[in-house]
Amino acid sequence: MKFARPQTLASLAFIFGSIYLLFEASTFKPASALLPFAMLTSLIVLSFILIFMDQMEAKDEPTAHISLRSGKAYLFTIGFVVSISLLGFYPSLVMGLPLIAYVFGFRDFKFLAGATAVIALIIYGLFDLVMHKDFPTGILF
Amino acid sequence: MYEMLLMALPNVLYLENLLAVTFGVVAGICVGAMPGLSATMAISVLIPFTFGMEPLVALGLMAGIYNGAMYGGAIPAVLLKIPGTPAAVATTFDGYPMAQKGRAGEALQVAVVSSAIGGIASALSLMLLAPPLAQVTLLFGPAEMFWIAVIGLLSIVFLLGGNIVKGLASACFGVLVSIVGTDTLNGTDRFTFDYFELLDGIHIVVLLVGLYAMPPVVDLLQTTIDISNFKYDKSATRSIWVALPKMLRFWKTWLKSSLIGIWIGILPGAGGSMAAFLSYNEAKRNSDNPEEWGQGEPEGVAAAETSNNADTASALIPALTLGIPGTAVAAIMLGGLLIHGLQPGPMLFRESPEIVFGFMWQFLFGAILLIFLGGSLATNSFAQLLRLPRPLLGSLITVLMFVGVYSINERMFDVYLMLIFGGVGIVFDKLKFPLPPVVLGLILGGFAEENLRLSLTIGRGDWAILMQSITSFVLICITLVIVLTPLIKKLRRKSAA
Repeated sequence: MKFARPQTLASLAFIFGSIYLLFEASTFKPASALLPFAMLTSLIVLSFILIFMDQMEAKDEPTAHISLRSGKAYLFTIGFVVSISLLGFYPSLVMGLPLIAYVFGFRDFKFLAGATAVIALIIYGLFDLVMHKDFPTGILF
Repeated sequence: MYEMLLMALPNVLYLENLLAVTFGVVAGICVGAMPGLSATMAISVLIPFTFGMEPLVALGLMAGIYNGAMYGGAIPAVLLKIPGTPAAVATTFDGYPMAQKGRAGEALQVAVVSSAIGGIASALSLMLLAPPLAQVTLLFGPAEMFWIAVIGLLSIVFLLGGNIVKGLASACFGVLVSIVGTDTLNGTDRFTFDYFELLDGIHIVVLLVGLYAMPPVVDLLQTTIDISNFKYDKSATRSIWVALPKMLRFWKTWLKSSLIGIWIGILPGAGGSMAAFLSYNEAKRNSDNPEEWGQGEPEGVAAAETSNNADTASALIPALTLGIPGTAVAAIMLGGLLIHGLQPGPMLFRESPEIVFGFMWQFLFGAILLIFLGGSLATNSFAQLLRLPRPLLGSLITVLMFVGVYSINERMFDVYLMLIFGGVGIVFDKLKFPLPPVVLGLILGGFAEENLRLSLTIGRGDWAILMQSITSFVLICITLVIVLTPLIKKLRRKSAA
């Protein structure tokens, strides 16, 4: 059994998650528990089938690896949202938008500064002034 | 019901509605022209911004984007041999060789006119076929509606192709997401984990943006595109009114490809790429000079582009009448209808005829508008879209994702939830779990449960009520056909091998 394969790991996550939710669903009234039970048990069965299929594939292709390439961009997105919680929307926008573009290969400083200013102004005009939306101000200030 | 169709026309002609369609088409072309971005992603990001809009303005934007993006995908397909959308793969076969011969402008004009013709045919099919189908479905009771939901969910899993087990797992995940929140029938809190933000359930937009926008953003940020072979001679592009008469010789291809596209659009799960491949092969088979195909034959571009646009509006025929979307974009559009309080299904035609029929007109206008955007100035401008910096676009979409999701309820909880679904979207994308069943599970899960429980209440707990009417029996047979056909085909292929 080779556990370090993406599909096997994802299926195991499905199984453990579903078992946890089954315990939670057991506290529901019978009518409300019908669909959750049906879906969770189906998901557990399907996950076992997926593990079986993946392990059969592992015999032919034993070196399936987990690519972390997407992780960097995803982490930057999370970082951007966390910075909004901490610093507020507009400071994070002014820093985050050019930073992400710079880190991922766009190095034209003048263009970046201009684009950031234009985008910040459009969002401010449209959402703050016209639609009266209040963006988060951040917990540090 | 057709008189209602005509009565809806004046509403669509309001300036703001026409502007919405126009803006949508231009935005759609820009999105389609960027490899990695798709109509699905663009509409997902757009939906939260349409909350405060009138329904027809919002739907006009969506219809425009859908039409525009299907043509926009042809721009990088012709100029770089990189399809902007999956449906534009067949356009590369002859579009790119034409560009290599200095006929890029001509290829793009054939693409835009053919896209417009496919789109017009598709919108007309929606107008003609949806109303009678909606009247038939008005006769359905809760048991039949339950089976309709089951058919919708299973058809997208079994007919989408790929791994059926993964499709079923995706659908189960989607239905589970639909369960979160307070059960409106008896007040039970389901999977809310004491978060009051979850009591009303998970907003479909949060799921859509996370699942459909995050993977393309990651792709935009992390992959580069080589535009060193970008060749475009502006002066070679003629006025559309000079180019159009010379294209009339493609009329047979336009007609056949439109019919193929419409048919594929109606079939759940098939999609524009299959329509484009089928039409391309059919047109090549009937051509007098098949040996020239693949070396820069404009008719090849016409066949592919007509059919991938002909499946746009027709995919909404089962979506609007039964709540079963034919494509992923149609599934997203169902989400767009829901946030404006419009429940897809037969009652939609009775309760909001001016909106549903107006939406059909907007599809038609969006398609017609494409012809006007095929002029030399527009064609030359759209060709330059490929020079836009991808990392900047990626970071801009990240900001728009935040703004859109935060604006729904003005709370960070939704944004963090969107990030979680984004992570799920990336994992599903990498492991090739199909995403449309997740969306459909969310849309149809609650609908199926409600009708099932209503049926059981009517039948006093007797499950036989689900199989008592002839319509239910027919729907069960259709369900069995949908489930068994791919399995039988697989077994046949195995035994033949």
